[in-house]
Amino acid sequence: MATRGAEPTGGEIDRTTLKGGVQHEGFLRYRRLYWAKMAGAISATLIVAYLLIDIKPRPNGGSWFGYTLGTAGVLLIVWLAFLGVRKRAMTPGRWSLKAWTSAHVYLGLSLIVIGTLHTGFQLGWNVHTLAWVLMMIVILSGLFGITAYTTLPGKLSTNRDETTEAQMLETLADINRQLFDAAQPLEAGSAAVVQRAIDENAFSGGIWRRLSSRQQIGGTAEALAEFRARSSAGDSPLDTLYDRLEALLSRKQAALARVRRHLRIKGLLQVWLYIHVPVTFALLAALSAHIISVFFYW
Amino acid sequence: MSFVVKYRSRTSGGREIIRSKTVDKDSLSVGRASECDILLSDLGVTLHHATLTREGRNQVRVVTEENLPVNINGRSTTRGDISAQRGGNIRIGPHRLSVAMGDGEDEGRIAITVDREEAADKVAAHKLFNLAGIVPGKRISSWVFAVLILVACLAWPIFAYFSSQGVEERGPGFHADTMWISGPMSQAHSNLANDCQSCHVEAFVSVRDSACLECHAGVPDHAPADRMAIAEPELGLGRSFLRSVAHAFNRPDNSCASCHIEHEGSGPMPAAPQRFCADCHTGLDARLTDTRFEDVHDFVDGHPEFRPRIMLTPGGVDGSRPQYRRTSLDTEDLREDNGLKFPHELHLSQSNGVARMAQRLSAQYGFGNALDCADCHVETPDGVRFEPITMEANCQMCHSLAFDRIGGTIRTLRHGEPEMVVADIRAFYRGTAPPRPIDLSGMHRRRPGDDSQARTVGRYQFAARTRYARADQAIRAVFSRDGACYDCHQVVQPPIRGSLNFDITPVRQIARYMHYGWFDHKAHETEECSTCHAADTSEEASDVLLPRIETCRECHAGGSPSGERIVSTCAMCHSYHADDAAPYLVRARNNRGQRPERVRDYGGLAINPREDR
Repeated sequence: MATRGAEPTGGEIDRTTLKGGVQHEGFLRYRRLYWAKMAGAISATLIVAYLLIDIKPRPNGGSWFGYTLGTAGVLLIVWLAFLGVRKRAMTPGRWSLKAWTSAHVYLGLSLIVIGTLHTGFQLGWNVHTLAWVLMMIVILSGLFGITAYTTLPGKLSTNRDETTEAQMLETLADINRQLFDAAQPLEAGSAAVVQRAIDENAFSGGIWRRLSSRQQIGGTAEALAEFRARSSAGDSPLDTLYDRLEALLSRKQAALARVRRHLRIKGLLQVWLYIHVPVTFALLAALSAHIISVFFYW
Repeated sequence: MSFVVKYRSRTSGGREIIRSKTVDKDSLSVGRASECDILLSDLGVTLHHATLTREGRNQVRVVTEENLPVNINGRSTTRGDISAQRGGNIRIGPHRLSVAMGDGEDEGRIAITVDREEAADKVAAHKLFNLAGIVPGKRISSWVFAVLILVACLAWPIFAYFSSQGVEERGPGFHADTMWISGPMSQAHSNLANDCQSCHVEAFVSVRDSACLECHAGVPDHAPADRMAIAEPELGLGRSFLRSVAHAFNRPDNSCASCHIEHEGSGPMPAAPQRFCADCHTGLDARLTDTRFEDVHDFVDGHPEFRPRIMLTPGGVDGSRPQYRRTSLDTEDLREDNGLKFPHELHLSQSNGVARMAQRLSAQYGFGNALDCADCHVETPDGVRFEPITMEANCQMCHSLAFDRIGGTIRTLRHGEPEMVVADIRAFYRGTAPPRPIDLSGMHRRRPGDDSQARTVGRYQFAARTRYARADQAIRAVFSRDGACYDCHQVVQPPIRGSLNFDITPVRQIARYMHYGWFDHKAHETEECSTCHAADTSEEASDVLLPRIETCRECHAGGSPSGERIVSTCAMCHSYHADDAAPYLVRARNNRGQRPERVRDYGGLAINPREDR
């Protein structure tokens, strides 16, 4: 945006680097999928090696090939975990954070192959398989994360419609205030209905409620149905008030729906990290137990 | 048709201050410029930001300058209508313009209330919209997970190890270190699954042979350790690297666990790979120059001809021991001597007197139209080999030793005791008179006079007197050509000429020819005997009827698969710990009760280790 609006004044922006068709290159497409190709080549090589190398009596993590894969896997895991440190320092170029993230994603995916071949497909109820399962959870949550990052921001932006989160809150607060003002002439029972509508907010409930796309029937929807029925009956002296309440409630309903969609999409964008990161640390602990146990009972 | 604009502000005490002004126009300009009807003094607002137009009695249309969307009823737009009846608001920067119908003295006007409020706290809003409030933080859950796993999967098992140190046998129940198990224990060791320390004695020290030998005492060594050390080949680059890594981690070479790999599945422990044998036995004679063994590395293209232990002499009547020699089957004119004369060809013929006799006795003994192998050769209970042939069970039905009948009882010569045979024949001639001549009985026609009778009496008395001496002749006949013994046995002539102390060379049958290998007849029961043993053309008992290695290779491949042939590693026929039991693979397969229907069925069995998963 900044470059588009800037005038070519002086040599501040070198126009020659901005050729036609220059577009944003995210970490997924970095250097024309360089790391994707690298990870694919590593995985393919290892699969072929696994099939060719005849470990007797059956492939296992304790053979020379198994130890090699295991060592490579644990070094890779530690390096991948270092993204958490690395991402706090942004640098450009070949050693850019983008390059690092791209490598993190694709080498992380190749860990499925490395780790699984290391098991020799021998899984059981033990600490070794625990490490493998945690590794798979981390990788799959990461896979979910990059899927979310590719597909959801567009939806988030469409839903937001150029309002900010603060504005969304203010809209809700506005409507609540107007509802409160408008409801003053009502008798106690109806006022309680409006109060329930005012009390409803989009933030209550736990993680499942937030990520669920199910329509939620709350105080607002009930109050809306109530006043819509009253205003359509059309024989009350309070008809104009009912009309006004109905309008306010349907605005609140729409605003709530938007906030909830926003929350849901934002939650989906964030929730994987709440699995990815803590399970990574669980994995590091399980890996330590795995490695120490193997040598403890050698 | 006018507006009333109310500016609302609050004192610090929270009291509302409203300044209102009536504007009698149909449209209001909104902006920062002083000439605007609604003045919004904020840098976020442009000089002319929007225009409000009254449309009809209670409609207000909002049109903003180009590219300056404002928020109308929560929606960002450049154009919108608001019903003053229903109310609505416009947000421009920090200002909120609430639209409503005027009341009281402003009845009929549209009231626009302008509030200025500080924008909601963006940081607070951001937090509210994040997941952080409703799920445990990443940092705290990372700590919790990591600590839980380290305690449960590391500290607890280590505690279990130290708390059961020095315990003879662990009690039942859960021991935390069992969650370190890297795979199911093999069948034979499954009882140890709860007792890691029975094998993993010391922490960070790989399993030592001493742990194995605690139970497996008396397992024979493959060879003396010094000779095995000489026999070991130079390792290649890769393997010497692996070995140096193993040494660096204090892992011993050539331990029990090098071949017998545990935790690889709950079935029988897999057989050692062929490589372990072939390493030393390839080019063995170059390193271990005095070895009796020939080089071998694979059954198909690197295995010498079989060298069965053949009997050279069965031993003598003087008690001398039989002599054996390991002889290659490709030796010219290979002969063995087990003391017996037995033409297989004669007995297996379909058309000769033997076959005729078999037919005659078939009702009694279950023979067919001719004899076949199983009529004499009976397998041992385990099916691996065959019971020795005995005179009583296998020969006597045809080769009768009967010599006398007393009443209904048939007397036979004592088999296996030549001196008893001699005595029995003597007794026979001593205890019985010659048949009485016909002319000595009174009731028959004869020539006149006593002369002929007297001569007969004289001759009969002579015969009766000398009958005993004819036993010698009979004894000689039995032990000589065409005699009962001579047909089947090697007769030892009496040491002193004229004596009758005949003897028989003992017969010894070989139960097992291959002492370094193992052949299981049961595993080959799908085949005819004649597939491997050319008995029906063997005219002499001295023929060695063992098949040559080429015959085996028709069905057996080496260590690597080849067509439909069976993958056959060393352990199929050979035992590393040279004991008398079957080799490891055979035992493992038999334990599982796997027996093939046809030869090709072997392909899917355990003997192909790659497929044994």
